[in-house]
Amino acid sequence: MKEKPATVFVVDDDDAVRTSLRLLLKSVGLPVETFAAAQEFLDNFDADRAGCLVLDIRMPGMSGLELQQRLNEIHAIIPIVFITGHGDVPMAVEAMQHGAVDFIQKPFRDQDLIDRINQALEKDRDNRAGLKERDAIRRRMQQLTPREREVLDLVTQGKANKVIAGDLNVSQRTVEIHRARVMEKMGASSLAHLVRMVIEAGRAA
Amino acid sequence: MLHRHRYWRAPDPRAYRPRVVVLLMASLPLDPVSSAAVVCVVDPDPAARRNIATLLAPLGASVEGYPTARELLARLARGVPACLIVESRLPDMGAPALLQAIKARGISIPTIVLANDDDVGSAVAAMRAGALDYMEKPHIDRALLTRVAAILDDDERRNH
Repeated sequence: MKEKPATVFVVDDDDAVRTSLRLLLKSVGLPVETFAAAQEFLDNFDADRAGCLVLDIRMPGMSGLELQQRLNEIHAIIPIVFITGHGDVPMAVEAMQHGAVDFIQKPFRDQDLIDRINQALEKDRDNRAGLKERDAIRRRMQQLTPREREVLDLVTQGKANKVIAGDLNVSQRTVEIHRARVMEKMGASSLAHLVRMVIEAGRAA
Repeated sequence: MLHRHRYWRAPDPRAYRPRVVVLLMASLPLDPVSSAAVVCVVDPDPAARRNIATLLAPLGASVEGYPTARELLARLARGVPACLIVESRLPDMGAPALLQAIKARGISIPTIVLANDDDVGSAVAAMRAGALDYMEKPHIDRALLTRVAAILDDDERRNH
């Protein structure tokens, strides 16, 4: 199934802002979807869709910062660029501390906004690539037998084959065989590579 | 006795609360951190560095002052502090550049950036560069103390 291209989602209660952003982004070839309210965006939110979120702060009903909180609660990683006519330092700092990629005050230069949106889209691409990689590693780990899994854990703890043999009460030759199978199933080119994969797999989703 | 903060511009009445800070500081149940914890303050103004040292005194940490980014970077060769407090505009580089330089050395230090102005752009740039917090100087008082206390608690838990 072909993935939809990365889309810029714009949430702003001001119709004029939505219209001008839609035109601006279309003019540089970026797909746009606009929403007049945070709740509307949430109702339609699909975590599998690539893209980024351009979000106003002050909106009736759910504010931009509240929407950010809600997205954090569901572990959504869509990069957020806040745009606002009312920002102050504490508000900007809070938005950044909660994971925003950027925070821009109006009036802004069109090219500035486009540059920052492109940075946010790149961040989204990197995030998704990382998640795919992590999933692939986890799937390979699931292919290991329980014994191979034990050997993987002990090997990545830095234990020598001889020590592992003692821990598992098997011969060193058996450990070597398991170890070779682990390296092959995991597609690891070296011990360091194997360790990096285990660390990556262990990262919170 | 609270020093007169000559360095900061006259705080607006909404933010001015040093008397309250003095009372609260007297009753804060803060445990002094072991003397091993180091907080580095980078600010070209010696009066500003002294003010911050005074503010952080209840924490019992060792506060070191540096006037420039370069001197702080040189100090890092001797060891990594538990916390860094940096003035947004240093004579030799801005806070984001200093944060990048520290990152380039493969080091990570919880960093708070302090600024005299209310420039949102600077705040965002500092946060993007990895600062933990960014505070406007006239408002810091208790907020800074609380923040650094939390950072040193984390550091103590991790290292002792």
